[in-house]
Amino acid sequence: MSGLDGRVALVTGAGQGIGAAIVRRLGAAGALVAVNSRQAGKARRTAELVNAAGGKAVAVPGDVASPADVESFITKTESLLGPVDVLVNNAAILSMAPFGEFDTREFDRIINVNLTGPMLCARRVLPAMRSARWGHIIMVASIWGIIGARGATPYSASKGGLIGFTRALADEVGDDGVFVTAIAPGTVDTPQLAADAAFAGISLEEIKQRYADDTLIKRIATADEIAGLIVWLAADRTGAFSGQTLAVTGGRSE
Amino acid sequence: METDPGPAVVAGWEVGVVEELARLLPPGRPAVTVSHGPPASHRAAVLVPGTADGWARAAAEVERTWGIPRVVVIAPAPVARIALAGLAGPDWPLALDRNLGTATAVSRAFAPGLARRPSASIVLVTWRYASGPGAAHLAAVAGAIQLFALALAADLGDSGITVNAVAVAEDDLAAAGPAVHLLSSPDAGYLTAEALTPRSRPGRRR
Repeated sequence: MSGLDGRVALVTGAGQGIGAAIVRRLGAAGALVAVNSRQAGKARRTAELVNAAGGKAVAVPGDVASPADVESFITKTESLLGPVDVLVNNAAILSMAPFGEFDTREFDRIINVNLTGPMLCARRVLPAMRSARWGHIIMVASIWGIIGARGATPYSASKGGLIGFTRALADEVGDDGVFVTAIAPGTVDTPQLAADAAFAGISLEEIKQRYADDTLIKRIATADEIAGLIVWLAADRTGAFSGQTLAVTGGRSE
Repeated sequence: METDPGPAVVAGWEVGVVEELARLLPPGRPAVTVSHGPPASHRAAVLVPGTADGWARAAAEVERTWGIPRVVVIAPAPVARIALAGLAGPDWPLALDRNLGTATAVSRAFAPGLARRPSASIVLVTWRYASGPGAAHLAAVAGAIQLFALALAADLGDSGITVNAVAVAEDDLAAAGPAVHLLSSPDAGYLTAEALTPRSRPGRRR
């Protein structure tokens, strides 16, 4: 028993990488999982992996930055699986450029997906969670939201905002049995690393080695181990970490 | 499913705190207490000899009897609140020795064994500094332990040992439970050099 048996979990941005790993781990823990991605095909493929392994998952595609889409895919989740008990706000985008070269619209787009999107999803699921006096909202932030990153000013700002949002929201809803926790991963082996490598002008292997060298344990994280921690947090009913951000970095060297 | 066996050890200067922390450990793994005082209730216990190499001998006995630990939890010793002006001669060195001194000795004693495992974890439980009078040496102890954990994580990172601090309020040792569970989990292998501050009463901070 994981504590998540039969619980309904919604994971945004779950078409690949950390999000897909979270879906697999939630499914293995017995949760009924709604798989959100902007790309319907990717959401469907992730859901099929859970179903093939004997779990239950459904695809609920949509854009977290669109209020209409959020309303639509959460309504679909509720009708197919039931009210959301666990929301994992994982959807995020990252593009890298020197600050002076960032187009204002691109800056806004990153803030909308990475910060406004989690707010829209949280606002939509909270009434049912508060009414049930059971809920956990987990924000996938980033170590860059704590330390900032050169070439990623909008992303860093969005994740820093998400960390502050976590703290404030946890304070508001904790008395109702709803916990809000953030996790700030360091470097994770996901397709995103290719963009970092391109920005740095080096190969994928070189960027992986560089990031590994920057940690105390000399490796980058796997998506599965970050997912494992998130599922652990989702199942924890002590709320011991509500409002907090767990930095999971392999030891920062800065 | 736990695929990485080995006992969990709780070690510290004050046996009462050590036993209380041992009760918070996750089930399914043998729990061994190691302290200077005779155990009140815990059955799997090692008494630290009063010799210069006492902690090393205790660690050797744990390894011999139960195997190399997977997790070593280092317990804090109580620190009384005393205004700085009222500190007696031994108060300051005793607070440091029973906390930082013990943490150093326990880490040194167990680290060589832990390094022989595929993965292992050291968890330093300490007090969370709370404002109010008489907390100067408590703050010094808490700060020292947290920074010691970060530095130890750097020293032991290459050996596959994660090191984290867990800071709890003086009247809320139970809050360490979820953090120790989390840090004992096989999923916590990428979590190192952090100071966790769990609370046992979620909800409003103020």
